[in-house]
Amino acid sequence: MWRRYGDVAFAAVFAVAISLEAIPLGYLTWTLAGEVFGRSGGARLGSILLGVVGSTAAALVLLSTYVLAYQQVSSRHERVQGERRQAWVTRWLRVLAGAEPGPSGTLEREAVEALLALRETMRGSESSRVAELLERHGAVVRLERSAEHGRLGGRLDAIVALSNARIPSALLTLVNGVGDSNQRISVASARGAARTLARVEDLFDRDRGAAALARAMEAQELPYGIVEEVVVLAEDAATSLIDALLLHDRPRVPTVRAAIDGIGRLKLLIFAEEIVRFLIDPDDEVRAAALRAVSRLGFLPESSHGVVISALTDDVDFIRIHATAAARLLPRPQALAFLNERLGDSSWWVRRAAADTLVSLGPAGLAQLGRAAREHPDRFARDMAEQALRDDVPNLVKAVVG
Amino acid sequence: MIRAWKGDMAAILAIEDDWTVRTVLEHTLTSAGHDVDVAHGISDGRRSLAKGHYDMVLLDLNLPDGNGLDLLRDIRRDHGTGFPVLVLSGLRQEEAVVRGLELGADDYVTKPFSPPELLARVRRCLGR
Repeated sequence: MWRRYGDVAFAAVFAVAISLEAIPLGYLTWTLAGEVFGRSGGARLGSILLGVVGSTAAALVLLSTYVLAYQQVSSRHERVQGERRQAWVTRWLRVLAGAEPGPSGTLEREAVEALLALRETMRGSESSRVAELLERHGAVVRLERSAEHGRLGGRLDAIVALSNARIPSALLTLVNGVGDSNQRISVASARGAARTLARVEDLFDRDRGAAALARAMEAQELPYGIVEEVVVLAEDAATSLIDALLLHDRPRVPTVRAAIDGIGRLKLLIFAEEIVRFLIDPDDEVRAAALRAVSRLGFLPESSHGVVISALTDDVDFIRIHATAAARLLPRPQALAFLNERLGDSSWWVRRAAADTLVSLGPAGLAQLGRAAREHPDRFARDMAEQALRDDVPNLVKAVVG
Repeated sequence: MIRAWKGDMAAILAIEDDWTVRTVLEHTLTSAGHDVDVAHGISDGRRSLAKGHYDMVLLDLNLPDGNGLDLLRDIRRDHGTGFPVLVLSGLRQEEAVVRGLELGADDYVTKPFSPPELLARVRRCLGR
C-alpha cells in the first residue's frame, strides 16, 4: 500500500477526478442521444468531444500529480520523522544512563516511538525503566485512549504501539479491545494482550489476565489460527493462558485445538499428562491436534500407548497420519512393527508419514525400511520404502558409516 | 584486520542492520570503555574488517544483504578460531544459533537483550 495517511485528501482528489470524467461523459451521452433523434448539430458534438478528452486529461494529470506529490511529501516527512526518532533514541539512552535529566511535559510522537523501539530492543531492568518512562510521561494513557476511540487507522496504530510497549497496566484495555465489533481491532487487541501478558510478572495478576483474555476470545469466537497465534505470543504466560482456555466452561473446538497445538509448539511438558485425555476426544480435529502435540513433546505415557495404536487404524486419514508420527514414541520393537504395517496403508500420505517416521528412528528405522523395500507383502509399501531410502541417502550414509 | 586483545578496552565491530539495536549496542559498549565501529550489512562489515583493527565482532544473523552465518564462516576461514565473534539472534532463531555455534561463534545474545548481560558476554569472549 503506497498510502498510509491522507484518507480525506485522497478521497477528495479521487471525487474531483471522477467528476471530471463522469460529468462531461454524461453530457456527451445526452448530446449523442439528441443527435440520434435529430436535435443537435454535428459541429456542436465535435466541441463536446474535445471537452471530454480535455477533462479526461485533466483528471489523469490531477491524480498523477497527487500520487507523485504524496510520495515526495511523505518520503520527506518520514525521513524527518526518522531523524527525530533517532535523536530521541540517543537522548533516551543518555537519560537511562543518568547522563542527562529526562524531558518534562507531554512527549512528542517521535519521543514515544523512540521509547517503544528501546522497549523492543532491550530487556531486563533497562526495559523496565523504559516502561516507567512511558508511563511517567502519560504516553501509555494516551495510547490507551487512542486505542479505544477515533478512526480505525489511528486505533490500530495505538494498539500496535501498546503491543510493542507491553505495559502490564494496559492489559485490561487490550483485553477489552478483543470484544470490539471490528474484527481487525479485535484480532490486533488479542495479539497485543498476549504480548503484554508475557510481561506480567506477578503470577496472580498473570492468571487473572489470562482468564480475562481467554473469556474475551471465547466470547468473540476468534478463529483457530488466531487463538493459536495468541497462545504462542504469550510466551512465558502461555501456561496460564492455556489453563484458562481449557478450563473454560465448555470451550469451543477451535479453542481446544489451538490450546493443544500451542502446548506442542511451545513444548510445554507440564501439560503432557493433560493432553492425553484429548487423544480420545470425539472431535477428529482435536484428536489430531493431541497426537501432533504428543509427537512434538516427545512424551507418551505408557497408559496411552493403546490409544495411539488404535489411532493407527482410525477411519480418518489425517488421524492415521498424526498417529503414525506419534508411533515413534512407542517401545522400539512395537514402533517398528506398527510403522512397517502402516507402510501398506491405503493412503499415500500415511505411507509417506510411516516412511519418514522410520527414517527419524535412525539406524533401526532405516534397517526396517530396507527390509520393507525388499520383503513387504504390499507392493505400494515396497515402493514407498524404496523411495524414502532414495530420498534420504545422506542419513542412510550417516547410519551406515557413523 | 584482526588483532589480539590486550587490555580492558577493546575495538569492537558491530554488524547490525537495525538502527535502534545498533545505537543501543554502540552506547552500551562505548559506556563500558570500548571503541565501537558499526556496519550495516555483510558487505559493509567485510569492508570494515579489511580496513580496521578489531578485537572482536558482534554479528547479527539476519542482515539485509545476506546471512550473517556466511560472514562468520569467512571470518573463521580467514582468521582462524582465535578471534572472538558474538552472534546476535532473534528469540526464535534456535536453529540459526546452533548453526552459528557449530561454525565457531564464541557465544550468542538473543534480541531483545539486556545491556549488562551483553557486556558480561563480551568480557567473557574477550578474556578467552
